[in-house]
Amino acid sequence: MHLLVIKDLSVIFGGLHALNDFHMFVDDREIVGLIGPNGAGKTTVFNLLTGVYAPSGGAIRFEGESLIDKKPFQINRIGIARTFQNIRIFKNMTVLDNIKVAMQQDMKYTVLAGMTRMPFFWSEEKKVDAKARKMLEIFDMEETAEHTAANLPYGLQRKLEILRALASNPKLLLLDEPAAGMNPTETRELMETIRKIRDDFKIAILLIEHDMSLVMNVCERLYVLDYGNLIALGTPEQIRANEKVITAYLGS
Amino acid sequence: MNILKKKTGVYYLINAVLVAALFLVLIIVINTGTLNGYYTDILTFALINIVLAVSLNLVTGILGQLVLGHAGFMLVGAYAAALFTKNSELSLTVAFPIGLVLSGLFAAICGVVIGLPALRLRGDYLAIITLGFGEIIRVIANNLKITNGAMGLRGIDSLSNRNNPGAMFTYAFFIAVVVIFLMFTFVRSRHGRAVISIREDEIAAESMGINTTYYKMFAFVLAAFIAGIAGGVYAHHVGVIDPAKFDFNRSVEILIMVVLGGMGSITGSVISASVLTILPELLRDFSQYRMLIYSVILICLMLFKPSGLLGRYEISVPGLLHALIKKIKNKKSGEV
Amino acid sequence: MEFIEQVLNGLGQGSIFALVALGYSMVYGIVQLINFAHGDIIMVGGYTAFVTFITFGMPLWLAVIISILVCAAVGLIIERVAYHRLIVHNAARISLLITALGVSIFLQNLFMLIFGAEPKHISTLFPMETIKLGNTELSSNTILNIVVSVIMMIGLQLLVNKTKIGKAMQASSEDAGAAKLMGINTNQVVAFTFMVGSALAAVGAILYCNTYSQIKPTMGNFLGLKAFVAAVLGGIGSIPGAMLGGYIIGIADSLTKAYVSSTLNDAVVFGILILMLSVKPTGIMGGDRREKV
Repeated sequence: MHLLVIKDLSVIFGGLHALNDFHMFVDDREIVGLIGPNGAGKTTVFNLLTGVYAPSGGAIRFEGESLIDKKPFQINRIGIARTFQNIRIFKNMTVLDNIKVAMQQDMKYTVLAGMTRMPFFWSEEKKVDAKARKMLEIFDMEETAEHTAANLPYGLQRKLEILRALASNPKLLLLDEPAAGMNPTETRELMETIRKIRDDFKIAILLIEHDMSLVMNVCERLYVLDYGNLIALGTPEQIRANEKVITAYLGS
Repeated sequence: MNILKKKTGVYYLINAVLVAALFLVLIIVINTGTLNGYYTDILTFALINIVLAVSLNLVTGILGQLVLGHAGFMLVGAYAAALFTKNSELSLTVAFPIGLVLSGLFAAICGVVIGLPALRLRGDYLAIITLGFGEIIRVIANNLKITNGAMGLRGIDSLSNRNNPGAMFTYAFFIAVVVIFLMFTFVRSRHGRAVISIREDEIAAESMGINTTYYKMFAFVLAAFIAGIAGGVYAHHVGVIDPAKFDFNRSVEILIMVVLGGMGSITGSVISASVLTILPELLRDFSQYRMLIYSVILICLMLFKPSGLLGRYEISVPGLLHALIKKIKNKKSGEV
Repeated sequence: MEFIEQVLNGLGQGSIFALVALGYSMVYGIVQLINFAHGDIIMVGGYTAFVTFITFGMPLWLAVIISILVCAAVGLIIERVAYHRLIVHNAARISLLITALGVSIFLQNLFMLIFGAEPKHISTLFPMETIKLGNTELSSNTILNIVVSVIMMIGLQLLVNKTKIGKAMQASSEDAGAAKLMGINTNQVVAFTFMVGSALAAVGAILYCNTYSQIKPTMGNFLGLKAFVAAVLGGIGSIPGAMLGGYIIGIADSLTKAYVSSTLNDAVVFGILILMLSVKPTGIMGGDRREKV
């Protein structure tokens, strides 16, 4: 059984077919890429997957469970976490607290237990604190733990967002242009990290990216969108040779 | 702001000692008559305002949603407690605390009724709905028989009397301390982080597994509950209540305490609530200009320092002591 | 035929709400701000009419023109002094709301200091007659209100749809950033919107004085609240929606006064708001705006 299955997914915004009969699947521990020119509907797929928008038709199944009509927070708890194209970190919180917000589900103490500082509160908070600091090590960000997130340089903010998503224990991680604004060296490092995340956390990754070198290198399979339509799918080699994709990117 | 530092226990202890000392000093000067009734009253008002400001700060500063009808919750609480103690056969020392619980509950129910439709929408709607609620609840209180209409309720017994002039103050003091403490511990818990994350970015919070509707509702209703209790204390402190005491201007006064102190800063609210209660009393001659001055302060703050006096910082006496000790140590080691 | 009379009365009242609602709706469409001070602009208009018409005894047409000019100017000043900086710096919405609230309180208290808190009486501006239509009686004021509000709405529609500045307003409301890139001076558009909204409020103020012959510094509070409910009900950002909302609120208000209780009408209006927001928050004629993620 596939981890994620999308069938005939469509959405219409004010008469415009932003996505048309889209289908895809993602398997466990796979790295899949979603590419296409600007405005092709890539982020729309993410928004539909995570429940931010409601689809006009079609089906989304995750581990066999339908995601239609589920709220974003429920979908996250089921096992899908995402980053955003235009970084949405919690700017006035510390780096550590950003990650702890996503670890909400790791703690079970009630409001009252928290307010009255029961022993249970301390033990759970300590556990989560250690785990959150450990997560920072993935990107060598231990030093920034107590910094206010807004003061991080752009690249680190993107990384923090990835960490925050990871902290919510997903089975599928959605990355929306993780390499945007990074230089070639950083991008190469990011490639390595994406693979490492997949191996260490044993999760599947679906990513939207414009940087073709990153996509072709790191993804095992690709889906290509153009004007809301799926125009090609296959391995990076197949996509590279696909006429339709070349036309979509370069124009006819 | 890391709560897991080893010093936390010591900090709690120092704060507890300081609060106890402050209380002892104040209750002694009140009971010996060194502080006369007039000033005791002002002090108690300041404490009630602190509770109101801190509770509004939870919604407006920490959750980031503008509420313009906080006085409405106070009104509900005031009438609930007053009607209960007036009609109950129990002695006041028993009836009063029960009345306070009732004021909190009734205000919280109003919070649920308003919050359910409003909190699902964008923030501006909450502002206007709470504004409407504040006005409507007053109109209703003006027209009901049980509230005695515009005449209001009179002869609400106070716990304070000649033998025990500090009774109301004691109640207000401990309620304020408990509310402040719980607010701090709430903010620095997983639930508090969830609420702050909603202020920072609602969509991101939701996609990180935070049930935003639930937490918004929770913070809003908790604030209403606390405001209700403050209303209950207020009713028994002044002895006479009528709907006009809880009008829009009252809501604005609470809001300005929050904004001036710093939205999101609990200690900021404590300080500005104290100052804004005591200062107008000293400057009685200017009372007709008060709202005018408040409005100018609001506009100027938003234009030039929207974070208020303290921003989101908290003043911590143990923290200050710690920094001071460190400084002295450094100086000493420097001399050697 | 008391019922029909009450409905017509409500329509007359609703016309005033509608004019005020138009201002809320326009400003909200452009800067996504609930301009709390908008209700108080009416109060400014009312006092201007009072001073010019009663105190100085100016002719009516002059008083009306001066009121409109004063309100438009006040609207412009408020935008420049209080909101402009925040809008340009893309400040947090809560800051804008608090500023708007501050402006509202400022205006009310300023006028309270100048004119006192007591209501001022203003004799009817226009001659009033009772018109009989079969069994129904209605006052000429009601007809005047309805006619004026409809003319204003049509004028505003023409302004928004046919003129260059109107199209710029539409574009800014759709996407301010894109409008700016297309060479639209959004600053000017915002300022113009505030002026037009305030001028409409002045017209509303004249009709208010004429209908109720009484003004006071806090009159903007409930009027503003009701007009805002009307704007939300009709669908914020929609001109015909604001009118429709205004009429509905006016009728609901008048029917409650006549058949339920003369004091609970405000509560009923508020109930309508809560109901509307629970069922269809975008309003009767509002399209849905989705936040870009």
